[in-house]
Amino acid sequence: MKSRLVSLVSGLLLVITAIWVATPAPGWAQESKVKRLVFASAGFDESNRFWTMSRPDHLQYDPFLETLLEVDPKTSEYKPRLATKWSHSKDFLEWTFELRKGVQFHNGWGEFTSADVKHVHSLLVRPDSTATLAPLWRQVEEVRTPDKYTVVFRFKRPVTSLLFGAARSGDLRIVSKAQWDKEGLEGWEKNPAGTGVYEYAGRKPGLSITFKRSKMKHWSGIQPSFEELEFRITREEATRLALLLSGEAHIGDLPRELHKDALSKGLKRFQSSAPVDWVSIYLGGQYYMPGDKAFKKEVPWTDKRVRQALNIAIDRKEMLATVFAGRATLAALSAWQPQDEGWNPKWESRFNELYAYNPKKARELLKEAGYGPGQLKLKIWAFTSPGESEGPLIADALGVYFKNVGVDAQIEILDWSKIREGFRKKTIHCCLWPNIIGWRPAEDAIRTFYYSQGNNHHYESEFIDKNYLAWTQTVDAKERTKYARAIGDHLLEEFADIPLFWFSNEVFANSKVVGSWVYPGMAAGRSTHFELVRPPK
Amino acid sequence: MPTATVKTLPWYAPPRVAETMAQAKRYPLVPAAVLMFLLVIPALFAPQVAPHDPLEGSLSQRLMPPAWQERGTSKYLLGTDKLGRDLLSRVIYGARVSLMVSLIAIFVGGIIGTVLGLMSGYFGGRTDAVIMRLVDISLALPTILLALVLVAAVGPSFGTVITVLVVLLWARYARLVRGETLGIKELDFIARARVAGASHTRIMAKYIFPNVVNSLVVLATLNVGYVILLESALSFLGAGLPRPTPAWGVMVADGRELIITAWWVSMFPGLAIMLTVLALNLLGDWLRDHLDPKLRNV
Repeated sequence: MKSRLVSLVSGLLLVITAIWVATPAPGWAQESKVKRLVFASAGFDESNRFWTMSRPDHLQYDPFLETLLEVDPKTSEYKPRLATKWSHSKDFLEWTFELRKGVQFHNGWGEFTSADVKHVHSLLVRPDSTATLAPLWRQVEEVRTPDKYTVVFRFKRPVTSLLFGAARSGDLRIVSKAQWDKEGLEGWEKNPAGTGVYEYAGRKPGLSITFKRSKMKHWSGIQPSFEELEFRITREEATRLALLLSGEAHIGDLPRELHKDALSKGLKRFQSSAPVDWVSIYLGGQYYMPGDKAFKKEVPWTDKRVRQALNIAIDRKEMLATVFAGRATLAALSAWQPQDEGWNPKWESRFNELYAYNPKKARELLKEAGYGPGQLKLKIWAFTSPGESEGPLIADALGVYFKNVGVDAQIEILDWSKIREGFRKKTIHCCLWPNIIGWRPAEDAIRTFYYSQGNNHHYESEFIDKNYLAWTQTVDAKERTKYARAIGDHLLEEFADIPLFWFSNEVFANSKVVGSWVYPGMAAGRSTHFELVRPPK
Repeated sequence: MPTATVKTLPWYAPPRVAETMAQAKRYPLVPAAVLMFLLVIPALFAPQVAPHDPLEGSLSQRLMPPAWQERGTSKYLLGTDKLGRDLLSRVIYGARVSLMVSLIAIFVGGIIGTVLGLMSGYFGGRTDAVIMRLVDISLALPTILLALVLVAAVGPSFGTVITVLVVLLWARYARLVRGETLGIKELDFIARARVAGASHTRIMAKYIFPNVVNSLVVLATLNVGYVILLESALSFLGAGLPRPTPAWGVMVADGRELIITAWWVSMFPGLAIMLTVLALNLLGDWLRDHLDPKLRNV
């Protein structure tokens, strides 16, 4: 009896021990056999100066520089991160963030406090700041720090979309003021300190950037499965595939053309939790603000008939099925998805009426506008965006569609910086360009792409400015919807640009090294949340 | 201890092979002529010969394999590219583009180089020194880098490609013509022309130039293949002719990611480049042997 009892107890103990060993502690990840996780990336503008970088380039900061708020990897909701709570005044002029206590910077640069947030804001509004959301941060009238763990942003006008800017989707990357004060820009360039689960280890310009798992206990309790992380810059698409197949890289972004090939060779596809990118073709030189000297009447697409013709010359469904292998959805309007502020359900049916593929009508419209076959010549500028390399293929496909309606298109593959310069300086009268853009709140998208005082200029009008300003001055939901819809209606009816598709970010991984990974896609840098990459069980 | 030595007998080609080689030596132009006929003639009559417009395509017909493969169709003999454009038509038009670029670049570069070479060799002294230093600089320029810089500054275009090629080519002609001129100007008939009161320009144009034409023709012919290769390389790197011009280099570049799944996209334009350059080199060699035996070892 006694021996049976002993064996029963010892058996029970054994089972409990086995369960205890097999069950990881919350946040504690299964350790990978692979020490260094290598992500073969199409590349990004490289620099530690995050305040000069566009959002897609923030991939290089995602592992080690945290933000005030998190973007939930599954639902894309904003959640606490370095800020535990947030609130805004009724008029949306003041936003208050309560900061997490006890968070330490890497390399012994002390505790994270409100002074660091204020410091980061000062970097984002420096004269050399070209960050995507710099115009938003320049709307801040005052940053107050009532105590070590509270920070208040007071804006010049009501701001309803601040959470986007303060979260992992934005560019407010928390860095140490103490380090900056002591070492200045030079020290920051050499060894930047953040608060993330990974620490910065170094970079080889043009080749790679590496991170090591922080030895400090992270406030979130999250422990990455991989000791080291490397972003290996590999511009050639076929080389990225070869790296993945040879096992030299474990995750990589591949153009959709190679997806079939990658899947057939056993690579595993991971997709962002939500469709986060849209692609539209912008038509440069549409500067309709009264008295704008940059306006040139001879730009063919200042004639609405030409804009409509170019829009209906494209068989979007065919393009979706081929270029995007069916893995996208039609965009009725640039910048808007059904869940966005101001979305009008009628836009979809109106889009179907106005934008349906009709090459015959396109030829007629062009003829009406004075362009017979072969008389309209235009340029399409294309560039490759990190992680989204379809730009040149889309440009080529447009060339074929335009040719079918008698428009001769010349395609040039250029650096993004040259195109950006053209549409920031209002000198892009010559061209159309496909632009792949990450999701952002509708208000921010309108400011970025259509408001005449924004950074980018391709289509501007007095009507949009008037409604945009009214939209940003009110916090009444109904009013805001009214102004947003007025702008949307205008863009749709005027054929301001050529909206194409919404799609998710997709990457491929070696299934022997990567078992699971959930990322929202909405975070700045697209393929983010590397701390959640887990090896196969 | 006695050792046996083994003597290797000389190898003799089997009679049929020997006969073919002898024929090839007798008629060296035959393979070149065949290749030229297959590539150049269709290029000259591209609009009549090409089955499709090289710029028109249909995404629904993309990446169709060549006719003899499964899923292939006789409508697209060599298959289609990733935009559904007919590859055969693009290869034919590509020959036209490559030949046109080469001929224009060689013609312009040749004229500039010949004029400067004549002046350099004839006048000598400071003129010679200045022109030859320019030649040295031109020959030292990294072509690809120059092309990339030009493209970054003014964008890819027909003019950019021609400019790059001319900058590279003129110096070769100048150096060749200068060398020939140095020898010719010392001959008696030049001295007689001078005594008869002929101007410098007349002497260079009427008496020296006709004597260097043979060498120029040989160099120009040998250069065509080289220029086609260079133009293709520039187009491959995106520093050549802009899309959607059916340039062979662009076509090879378009298919490089698809080399495993759709090999034909870059294979056929690549083959066209190789065969054309081969044909032109054979032709150049033959011309060199017949027009300017002195250059046989060049």
